[in-house]
Amino acid sequence: MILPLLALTGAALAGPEVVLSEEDEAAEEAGLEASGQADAALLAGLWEKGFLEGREDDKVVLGGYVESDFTKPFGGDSYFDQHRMVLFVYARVNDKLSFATEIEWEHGGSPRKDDGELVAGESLLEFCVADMEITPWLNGRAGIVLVPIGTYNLRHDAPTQDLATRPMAATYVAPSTWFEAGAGFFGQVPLGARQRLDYELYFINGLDSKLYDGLGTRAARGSLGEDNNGNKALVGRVSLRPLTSVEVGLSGYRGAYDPDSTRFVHMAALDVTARWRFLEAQGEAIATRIDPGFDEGWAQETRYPVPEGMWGFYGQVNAHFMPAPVARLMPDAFADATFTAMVRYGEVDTDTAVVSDGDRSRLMVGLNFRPVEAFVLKNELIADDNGGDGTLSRPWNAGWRPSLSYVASAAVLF
Amino acid sequence: MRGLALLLLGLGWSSAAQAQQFWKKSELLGEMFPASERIAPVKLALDDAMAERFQEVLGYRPPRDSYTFYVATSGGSIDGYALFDDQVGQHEPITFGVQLTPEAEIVRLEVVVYREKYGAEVRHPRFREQFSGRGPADAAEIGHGLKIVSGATYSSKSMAIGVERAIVLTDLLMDQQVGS
Repeated sequence: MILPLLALTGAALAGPEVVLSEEDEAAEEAGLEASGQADAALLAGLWEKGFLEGREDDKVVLGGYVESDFTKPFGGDSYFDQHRMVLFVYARVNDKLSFATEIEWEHGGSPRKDDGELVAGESLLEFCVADMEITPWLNGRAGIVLVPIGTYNLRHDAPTQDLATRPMAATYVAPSTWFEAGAGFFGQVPLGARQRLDYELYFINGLDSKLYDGLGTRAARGSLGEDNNGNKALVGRVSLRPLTSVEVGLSGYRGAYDPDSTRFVHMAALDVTARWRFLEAQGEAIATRIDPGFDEGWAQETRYPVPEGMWGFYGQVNAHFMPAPVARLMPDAFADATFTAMVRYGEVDTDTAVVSDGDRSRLMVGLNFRPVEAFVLKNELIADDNGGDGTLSRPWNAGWRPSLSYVASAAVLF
Repeated sequence: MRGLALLLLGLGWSSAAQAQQFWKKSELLGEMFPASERIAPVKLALDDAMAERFQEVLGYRPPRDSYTFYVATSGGSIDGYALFDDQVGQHEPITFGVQLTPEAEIVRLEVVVYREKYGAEVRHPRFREQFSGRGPADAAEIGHGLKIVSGATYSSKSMAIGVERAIVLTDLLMDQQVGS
């Protein structure tokens, strides 16, 4: 009697014989991150503003985010800034056709008080596209697109970023948020069990001649309703994910900036994003070459020569953690609460021919808290220096005397 | 940075990775069917008729041409099915596993890998248990009336889409097994 019982108990303890598929077995043996169907490519999400997979009755999806900042420059006056309120609307017309838009109100929308005066504020469409899926690797898109130079411009939404202040390279060399009216193609190509290649390629109105040392390309972002010349800029990005946790992107831009379509801006960028355990690393390097010419072709043209070269880069490391004693104090609603410590260093030069205050270095350290992933309270300390005195100092230089500021920010995705 | 990592670990701080794998497939399968004798993979290759039937129910074409199921058996009879699949959340694919009865009704949903920055709350049992008992009769209705987790709207909807797909695919697999 005892033996059969022991045998039964032993069988129960041993559990079932689990035979994995060849792909799953190989993945587990190699310690690879699991994917649902091991032979399938993983799909891109809204991060890339790609097409949506879903049901026909999920016809319209609303979402958005809010970002509110508090800034205190050391030696200057502090201020609150209702920085952004963005409303997302995604609509699926059918399983091949979809529409997506982002409506943004910056600094409270319009009118906005600037230096004591009421002026027009920002209330605009930052992204507005009609997408048509032909195949997963070939989708048509028309409307207002996020210009695919580097990765930050494509993933700039405040709650997705751990630091509130954007990288200088993605602000002055690639003028994030850079959005343009245009049309083109995007898609993804599976390259194996866990590898995939994504691309975006668009024709857009492109940058005009408002290219300045200091502001970089920010003022030159193209109109959403007209072009200053007949040339359409071509911009594209190809990204490779050798693993689901690693992405390497290459992007390029070429477009005429002058009214005669004879002088061009050439831009190239390399971006890398990687995750390992509780660490993330991200960085971009962007270089711009501009044919010699002038700020011209509009009512208040200065006829100043435009810079002939710009570049910038940044690198950032994030470490996510939660001290166990603090975790125990969290209410159930914050069971997944996380702290993140960040450090970022970046430089930018908006005119390579001169050393001026357009040459900037910036070191940032930050600590944020996410009670849930969609809600983040950010704190960061910014140390800036520039080449206004003829020399650009960096943190490791003896004469480094940065100007300091503190930024706190709350951002929530809904 | 390695020093920082070691310091954090040395201080006994728990890490909160952005891509979190909660289960190995082999371990989860063993937990899903602890009393079964054997769990083995079976491939479902979707022909045009199956794809059309799938589309009739869910309103979109199946994302893949074939799916690998796991079938748990004891003494020659089927104890249940398991399907691992990916469904995109807001930004990244969520890898999930679903356990189903021999009648293609949901027994258990588990998040296997969560890669999103937001919405990991869909791992909570209160959310996942909503799907228990749902089957082919109401596969297309699962998204309706779903109690969505606040702050995890996209992930909640994604899980509903994934569960619906798992039920319909299992139903197709059962038909294929009956026909074969």
